Amino acid sequence: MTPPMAGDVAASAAIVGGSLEGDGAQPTAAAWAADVSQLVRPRIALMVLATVVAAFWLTAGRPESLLAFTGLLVGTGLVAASSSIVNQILERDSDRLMPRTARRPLVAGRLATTDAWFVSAVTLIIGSIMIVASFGWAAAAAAFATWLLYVALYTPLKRITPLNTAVGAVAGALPVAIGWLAGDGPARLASGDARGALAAASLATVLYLWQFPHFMAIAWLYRRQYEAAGLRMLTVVDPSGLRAAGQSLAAALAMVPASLVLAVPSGSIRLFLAATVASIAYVGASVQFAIRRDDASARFLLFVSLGTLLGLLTAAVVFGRPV
Amino acid sequence: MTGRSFNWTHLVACLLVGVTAVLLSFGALVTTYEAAMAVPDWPGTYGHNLLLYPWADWLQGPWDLFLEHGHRLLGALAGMVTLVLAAVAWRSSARPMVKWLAMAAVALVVVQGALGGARVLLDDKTVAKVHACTGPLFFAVAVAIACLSRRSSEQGTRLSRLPVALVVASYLQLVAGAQLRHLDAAVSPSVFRGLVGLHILGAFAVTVFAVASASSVGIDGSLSSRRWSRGIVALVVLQLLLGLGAWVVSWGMPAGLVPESWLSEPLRARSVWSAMVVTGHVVLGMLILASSVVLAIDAGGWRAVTSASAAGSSSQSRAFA
Repeated sequence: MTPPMAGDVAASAAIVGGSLEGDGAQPTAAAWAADVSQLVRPRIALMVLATVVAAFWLTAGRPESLLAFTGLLVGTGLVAASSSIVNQILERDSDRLMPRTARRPLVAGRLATTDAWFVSAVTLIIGSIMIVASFGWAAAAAAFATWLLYVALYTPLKRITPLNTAVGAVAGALPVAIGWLAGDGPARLASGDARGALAAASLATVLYLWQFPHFMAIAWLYRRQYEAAGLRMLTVVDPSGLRAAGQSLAAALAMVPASLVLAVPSGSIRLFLAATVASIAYVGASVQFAIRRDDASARFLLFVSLGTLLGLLTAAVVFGRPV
Repeated sequence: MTGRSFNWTHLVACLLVGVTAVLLSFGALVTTYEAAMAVPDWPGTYGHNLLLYPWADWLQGPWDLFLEHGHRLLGALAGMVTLVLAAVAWRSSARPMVKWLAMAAVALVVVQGALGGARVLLDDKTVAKVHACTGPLFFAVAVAIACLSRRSSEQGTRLSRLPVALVVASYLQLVAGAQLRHLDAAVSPSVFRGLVGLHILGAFAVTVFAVASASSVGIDGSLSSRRWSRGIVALVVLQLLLGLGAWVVSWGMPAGLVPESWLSEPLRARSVWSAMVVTGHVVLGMLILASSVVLAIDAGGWRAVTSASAAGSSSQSRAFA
């Protein structure tokens, strides 16, 4: 259930903070931990969990049972890990052709594919059971739908059409539904309290649109590797970057009102102003990328994208709880 | 035209800019006269289809009904023109950036229409603020499309970041202003003080960036850029005066940051004169934003890069240096 952030947050980390790939000469335990980390991509899982927490908080506030909430988060993390593993299994051939991913454990042969299939199945099943046990079938169904969309649709589409981003972005936004459903969102909506639904819808829209500039920046930075691997990213189909830049700018502009709507349920002026600053900064970085279309502006856009999302989620959680 | 096809994209974009300018002015008047709830239903008007509401009732009816229904009609017109613009841009040989900006305009106009409806149905101040902040953003995008769709052989020059900073500051200032325009009666004095301080700080930032942009463009900018930048400085000076006027007609002479009258009497125009001052302040803010967008495009490398096909050319890398 990893969004198209799949390649991206991991890639972001590699770009901003150095390579994630190991040296291959570490002690066994450390090497194993590094391999597992690459396989399950914890940064992406954390991003998904942050989304779930924000959606739950905006819908229901403080959870009644901390144990059940922990079960939801661990279960969601396991399902996210499962999707990362399956993604790497399915993409191991193309990963082999890209320096960025050529040393992943499955590609390098440090882990067997059958073992990976087994681990992905176990994490998916245990994760789903934990979600069902803590918050019921609806939240688990949303988690599984996200997993399915990412693994069965987005991953193969990367080889077929540049529209893969538009599909993958849905998977990136769906974790909001997990938090909303776990927070009893439908019942609250049925009883006439639409604030949680509005906050969740706004958050999901923000997350959907946010991924376009973010992913296009990564697609630009790794365009040659994607091309070599046969992945049909927009920057591969249109090497000038004009289409990627245009799509980024359009999405960033559309994200401005979506971000502002986050403040409607709570009526928080602070959240309103924070959302304005964050989303306008994102538009600014997208404009710069549209003008320059070079690695520096793409890197800057990527950096701003992470700050924008972090700022928005933090502001939404701190100031945005409906009163 | 001498063998070149007519530039429909530019024509429709200019039409959209004109319609939007009138639409935003109507919107500002709706807020000034607190006429947003003059028509309590949506998307219809008193049970009629929006477009079929009797014209005589509209034109001869109460002032607030005239404003609100007129705002809705103009909004519908802006929406239709935006759809036409997107269709024309995608069917023409317009630059990719123009096409994508047209798509953004479609998204924004749809969202803005929904926000307008939600503002009425929910009667919510924060929705009104979002509506008030999305309008200028849409206007800025329409202006950008009109500028970028112009045919020109000009090449981009080295671009100062100042006009871009001016665009950002102008927009943020509009957002700060919207917080004061749609003030909730329950807001605390400290929050009010903070918002006023933010708006004054924004005015300072816009003034500094406008003057700095004019200075920067005045040295090595084109004739058109120099004219735009000087015009913006003039607009900003006028805007500062209107801002003071808006305060006085709304809350009296500024003896302190929190006037005694504001708690009992929220921002409200009380006469045609005061309504003109308050509404003019809002509309002028939008004009400054739009002019800043023109300047940022005119003074920069946009035109060059949007027409270039290859990435990484030297002109592109210079464009935003």
